[in-house]
Amino acid sequence: MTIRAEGVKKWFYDRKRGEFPAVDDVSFECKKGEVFGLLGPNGAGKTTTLMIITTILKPDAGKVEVNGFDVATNPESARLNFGFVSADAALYDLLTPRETLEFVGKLSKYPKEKLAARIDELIKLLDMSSFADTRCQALSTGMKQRVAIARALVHDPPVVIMDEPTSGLDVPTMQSVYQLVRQCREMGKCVLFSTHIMSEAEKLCDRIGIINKGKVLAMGTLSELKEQYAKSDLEEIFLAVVGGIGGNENNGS
Amino acid sequence: MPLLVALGAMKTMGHEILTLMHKEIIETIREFKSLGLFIGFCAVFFPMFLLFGTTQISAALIEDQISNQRGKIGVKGDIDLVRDVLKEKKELDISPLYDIEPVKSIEDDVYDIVVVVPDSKKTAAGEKPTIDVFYDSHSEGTISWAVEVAAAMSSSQMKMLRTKLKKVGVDSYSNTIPKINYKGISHVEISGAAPLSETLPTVILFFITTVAIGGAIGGITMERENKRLAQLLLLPIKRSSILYSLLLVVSAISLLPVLAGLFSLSWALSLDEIADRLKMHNLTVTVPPETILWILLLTVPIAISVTASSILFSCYYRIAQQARGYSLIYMVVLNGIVRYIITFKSLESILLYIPIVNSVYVMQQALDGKVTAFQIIIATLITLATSAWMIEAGAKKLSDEKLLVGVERAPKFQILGKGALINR
Repeated sequence: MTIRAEGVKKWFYDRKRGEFPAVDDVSFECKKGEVFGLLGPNGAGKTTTLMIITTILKPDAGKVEVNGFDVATNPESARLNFGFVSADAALYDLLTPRETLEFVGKLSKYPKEKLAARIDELIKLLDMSSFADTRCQALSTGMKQRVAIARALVHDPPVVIMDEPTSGLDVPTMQSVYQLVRQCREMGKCVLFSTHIMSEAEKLCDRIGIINKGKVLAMGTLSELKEQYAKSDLEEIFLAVVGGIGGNENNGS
Repeated sequence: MPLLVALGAMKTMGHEILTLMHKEIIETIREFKSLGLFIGFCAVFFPMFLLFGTTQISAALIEDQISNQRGKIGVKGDIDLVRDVLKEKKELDISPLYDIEPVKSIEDDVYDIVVVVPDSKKTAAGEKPTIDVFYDSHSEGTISWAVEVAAAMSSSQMKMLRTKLKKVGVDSYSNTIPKINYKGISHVEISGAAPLSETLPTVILFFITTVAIGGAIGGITMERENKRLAQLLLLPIKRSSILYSLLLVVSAISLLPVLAGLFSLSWALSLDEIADRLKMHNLTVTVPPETILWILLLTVPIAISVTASSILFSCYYRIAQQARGYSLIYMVVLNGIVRYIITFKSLESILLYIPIVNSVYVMQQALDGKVTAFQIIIATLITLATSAWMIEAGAKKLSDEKLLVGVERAPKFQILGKGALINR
């Protein structure tokens, strides 16, 4: 198992609602060479779950392990084992993609003698050669997202966590992200892919967990879910699980 | 074994800090425009800033100064003579100096200036009469009074002085112009930079604070706002490495404008025109090499401690605009408190042990030529230890969920309907 979440809970608070569960008893597993989709409407608790897995937030209850390392008790080792891509690339504007990858690679303790070759490999893989030495401030959104993906992969982690990575991208760039996710699976990496786009989940994910109001309501392969809910496509399954309008009135994710 | 583990951890942390510093330096070099402008600003205004302060480093300003304070003049010898000569100087409080030594009376703050008029009986025939003017040139007001006293005695009223001297018996050489000796007391003779000691350290503190707070907000609060800090926190590095790297880079950067200003100031002091005018009044403001060394050395702990406190300040804000707003209050409070505390003579014994204040105080002592190696070591160690503590405290705030991603937690205490306080 490369990601294991067990009974994870996280409570948020606001003055209007008081304390409420942002993540409520979430449990799932993501294996090596598998793409696990976390599907849910906006505010369902997907990002909060990913933040707990990536050690940004601490769980109020439950346990999360990344490649065998408990994120609460051994966060530094857990961080060595995953790469994270979010919708917001959050790159250093004044650095070039190559410098960014070098910076992250060094801090991620990737072997020094192999780093340059690894960066060249990623630049080639993600088709970044034309802008590898241009400052990030001059790049388009799609280019930036490719750099962000390369940044997550530079230390060759066994786990890749993606939080709506195609948000705001054009169709060709989205396709290249999909291709990369498939490549990661082929390389035997565990990919946790969070999205609210049905077609994405349908195309990419080996197993899907549907999350709403902080709870995982359904989980399985696409065919298992189709069989379980007697629906022909994921969108229908999703609506059956989550409900129609108002199904996403939960929390901040 | 534990030693090896500790050494390994230190090596790893050193590697992290160097990598982070490298990135910070690249970013600073590529965005040098604003820093360059500030360096230029300091180079131009540093000498001018000092001129507008309370310290007089220009002979022109000394000449023009009209002090509203009453200067205490002690006179040994014929007090009536001095009173008569200085009768136009209403601001001077002239009284006789009895059995105290002139130098001691100034050191003990009994008098600002002591004038020793020659005794007719003791002035040997053929000997040129000499009037000694002792003053404490550490005090800028005293310097100007000394000049005024000297000017009164030496130029326009010289004729009257000769007449008066003749009356008291020094009449053998009525055509001889009495010689006036200016005698600066104690430390002034050790360090010619003493007149700068009141203003220079606080000016340095002000400019360092300005750069440090800007750098800290840019490196912490803005990074947090732009979500780059969250990305950085995902890497397998120590939180304190992030802050230590920022501390080292911002401290070094904050010194650049100050160094430019100091070079500019030393150039201004060496200008012939200013030097000549100072010489006319037997005044020389020079900064001896050892004092320059102390100033440069002491700017380092000042820069480090101020940057560490700025970083700690920045760690408490999520929005850069909010941090910038409060940074003005922070700057005023920090500079104000340091300036205020240093002026308290009663606190002199503990100033050395108050972080940030101690570095400024020791720099002041260095300019007065009174600094000791012990003071420098203690001030530096205390300042560095406090800075390390502030960085560790800031590192804990880096992972704060509320600051990082805006997660609110339920308050520990909640007020219910009728004001009842419950502990959650």
